[in-house]
Amino acid sequence: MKEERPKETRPALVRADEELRRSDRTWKITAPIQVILVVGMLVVGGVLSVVAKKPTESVMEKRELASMPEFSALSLADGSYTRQVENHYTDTFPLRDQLVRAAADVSEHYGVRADEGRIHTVADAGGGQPVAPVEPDVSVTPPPAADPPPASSAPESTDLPPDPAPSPSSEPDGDEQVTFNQSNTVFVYRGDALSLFGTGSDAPAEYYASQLNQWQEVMGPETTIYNLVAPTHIEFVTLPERLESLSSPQKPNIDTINANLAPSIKAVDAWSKLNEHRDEYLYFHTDHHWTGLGAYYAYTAFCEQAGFTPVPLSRMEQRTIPDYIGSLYAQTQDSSLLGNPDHIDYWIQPTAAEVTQYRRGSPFYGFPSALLAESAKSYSVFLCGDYPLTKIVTQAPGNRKLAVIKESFGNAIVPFLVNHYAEIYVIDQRYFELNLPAFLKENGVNEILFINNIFAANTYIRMNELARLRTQVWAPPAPVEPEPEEEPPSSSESSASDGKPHARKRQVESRPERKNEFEKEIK
Amino acid sequence: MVFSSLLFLYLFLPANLLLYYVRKNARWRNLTLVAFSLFFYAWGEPLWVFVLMMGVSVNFLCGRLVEVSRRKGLRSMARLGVVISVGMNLGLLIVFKYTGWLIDTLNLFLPQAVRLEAPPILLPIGISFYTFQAVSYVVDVYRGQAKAQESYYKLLLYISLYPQLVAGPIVRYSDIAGQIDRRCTTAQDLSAGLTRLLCGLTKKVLVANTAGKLLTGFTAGESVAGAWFGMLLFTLQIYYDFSGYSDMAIGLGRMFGFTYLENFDYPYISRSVTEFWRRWHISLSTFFRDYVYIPLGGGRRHAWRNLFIVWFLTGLWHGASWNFVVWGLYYGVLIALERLFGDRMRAPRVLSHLYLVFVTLVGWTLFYFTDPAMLLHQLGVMFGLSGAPLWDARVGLVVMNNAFWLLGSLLFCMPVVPCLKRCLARLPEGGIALVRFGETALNLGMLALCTCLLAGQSYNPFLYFRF
Repeated sequence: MKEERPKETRPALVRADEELRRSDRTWKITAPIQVILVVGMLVVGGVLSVVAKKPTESVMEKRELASMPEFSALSLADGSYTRQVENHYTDTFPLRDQLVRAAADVSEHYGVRADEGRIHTVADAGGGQPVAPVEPDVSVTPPPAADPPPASSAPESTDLPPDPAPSPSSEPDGDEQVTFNQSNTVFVYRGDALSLFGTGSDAPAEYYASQLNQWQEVMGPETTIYNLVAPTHIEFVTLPERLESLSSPQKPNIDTINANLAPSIKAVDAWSKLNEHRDEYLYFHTDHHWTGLGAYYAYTAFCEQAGFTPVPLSRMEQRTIPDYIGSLYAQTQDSSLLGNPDHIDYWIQPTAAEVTQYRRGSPFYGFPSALLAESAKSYSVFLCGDYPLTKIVTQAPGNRKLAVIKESFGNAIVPFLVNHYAEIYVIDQRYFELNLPAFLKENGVNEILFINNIFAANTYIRMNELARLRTQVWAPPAPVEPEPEEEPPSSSESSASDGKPHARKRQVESRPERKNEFEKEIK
Repeated sequence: MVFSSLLFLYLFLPANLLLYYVRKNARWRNLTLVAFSLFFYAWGEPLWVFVLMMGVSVNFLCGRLVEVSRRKGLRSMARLGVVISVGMNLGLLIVFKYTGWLIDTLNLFLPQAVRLEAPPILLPIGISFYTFQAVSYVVDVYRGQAKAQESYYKLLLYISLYPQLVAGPIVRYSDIAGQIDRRCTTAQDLSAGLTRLLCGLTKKVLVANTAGKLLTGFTAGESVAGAWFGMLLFTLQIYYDFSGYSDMAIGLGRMFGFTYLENFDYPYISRSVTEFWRRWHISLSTFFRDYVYIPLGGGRRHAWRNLFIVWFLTGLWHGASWNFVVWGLYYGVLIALERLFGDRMRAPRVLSHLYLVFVTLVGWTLFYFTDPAMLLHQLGVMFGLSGAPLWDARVGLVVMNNAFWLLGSLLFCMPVVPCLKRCLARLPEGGIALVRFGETALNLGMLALCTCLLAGQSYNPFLYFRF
């Protein structure tokens, strides 16, 4: 039936197979053995995957595993049902944690560690990922030796905040628009995980400065704006000369930002202070954040600009969380990081402060909280993680009020500020849901500190959030949602709720630059 | 559903095998395969599965019409059947795959005010493959190379059979018609099919996915070496992805008694572009040869025009974007040049290999960047026109970090496996039996490895789903 197909050029594999088959007289016996063994392994794996108990969360990845979706005709028709079933199946496959670890071990043997370093491509190395909020301990200064209460010893997976703890790998905002900014590359070098920074142009830095300038315009000259761009770990690591080009220097980028700021905006030179102490423990080995100490030096730089005398560390009580393995290990799974665990130092402030935090979807009703979540075992110790709004009323002298607009790098610096301001409003630019200029005017805030790490200050998604904060209007969650467990629609986008079309759409809608919309705030 | 997923490997496949082999009855076996195929497709495309089934009905009726008209000598009726069928298949393809592209292209020539908005049509998986198979069915019947299928579900089986449904190879009806009714499957077939499946799976999971992940760090054009290295990674990714998929298709087909023709024959060892296209995606290039190029007149009438049409269409088939057209025409021009001057220029072996590797790397660059600005930037960097540095440290690190993987991947682009098999064929009998046990151990190892990697990879897209 295929006479006209020329036969002379049969593929090499077909010819070789035929040759082997001709000379193999025992295949009749060996073939069934192979079939039984291989199909047997598939069947056994399949049966186990069905009958084994299904875990609901992964300790290793610090996230909830995909659950079995509820069936509906609609979700079947749009394909989401089968997709979720498959996610659930893969997430809860027997021995998954061990398999994932084994996969990482396998890929570590694809080659050799050149210069003791290894490059990893990850979903997001730059600080787009939120720090999981934790249940705060309301008592601010428990007795030093007290053990953390057992109930809160697994803080990361609490179902308390409306956004479930996100998985690093499903966090899409790192690589969405960051074409010139290599925030998806991590270099693990001698036990340190370093996010590589690289920008091809000044455009993002200029754009970031223009965002702050627009804030100054909107808030008027009576508001003082400070800009603090935090350099990251790699800036202060000394690499061998041939590796220096791996990451662009961050100082010129910070200088570009500051050079483009309106003259009224005060640039906080955290870089120089950090550089003076570059040999100290300023950054974690296994996490993309700075340490409490790194944040402290940035705080001293801020004090210079704001006209305060920084409180010396010796006047604070230092406490330590040992054995911390951070976000960049989770992303790279580089086993060499396990040999270099971190510890988290934090300091109890001499000034008392009363803290209220607000969850997503609930911008008007806060709950009492604390500056430091001492039961946390991670960077979430600072400000209990990323909440949309943290209101701090202190007993500091004077009557100055400050707003801190930040991503997670800001969390570690805020505790030091309670010594100087009577009221501090900490706004997470990713999650805050009200119109911010109106909110600030209402609360009589006339100083604003913007803190972004250098990756965030070069990532358009982060920068556009600064624009969105100016224009967005709070829309209360619709009461008659068909799915009751759905989180209320929020205008911020970068958590595990991503991919829900309505959240994304709202963000796009609210982006147009309508400058003055304070009056429209809804109460 | 995709083959490289735990769900497919550990639930779908064993269930299919057990149900299929539980009875010897041919009808039972065919119906089992149809049911599993439709489920397989509906898993990813719960609505478009009905478009598929409807399309098969039309093709079924057209096939009958062509057959009956042929027998009665009604040539024009037979022709009508072909026209309806081809029209519908291409219509489906155009509507689902090219609407957005056509509108975007049209908008380039329209003034701002009257620009059209492209409807949000999502490409049904595999439509580029199964519409071509349907065309081959009706045309083969028209040409008298096959008898029209008398039973709807058997035609449905041919078109929807899941091993080849979503990413090829494009199986011709005339090649497979006999096997639909009569096929014998021995333990050897099953065993060889399993080995082939696992080899393909390993190619996809171990090589293609890794290359794809590494590649993302080298597409911003930071250095000349980085740009070339990135394209080398893409060259590896696309070959291992697509040929791995074909291996899995061939292996699965074999496990159920279908013999598919090879789709790849070590294309990167070619010494000319003409040879490359004899070895790359064979089922597609022969399809275009037999159903477009030769009917248009082949090399006898309007040879250059025909060449242009075929390569324009080959490019466009790979994706609804102009860069694919450019990529297709690039190969068309090279093939034309080889035809004109190839006989007179006998290059030394080394040079002709280098020529092909160079041409392929540049070709995949055209293929990779759908955005013209990024494409031009990348080409500028590759050819040193952008002022980018020659070298960056990341290239060296990534090469070292993945040195064994890289060497292995390059090595297996060459026909090592056939060579090895031919050597093993010369072993004495007991030796071959030992080799077979080694094969089993290797298979179990590959399965375990792929299971680990699949669990570890949330990153698992199939490149060819776009087509």
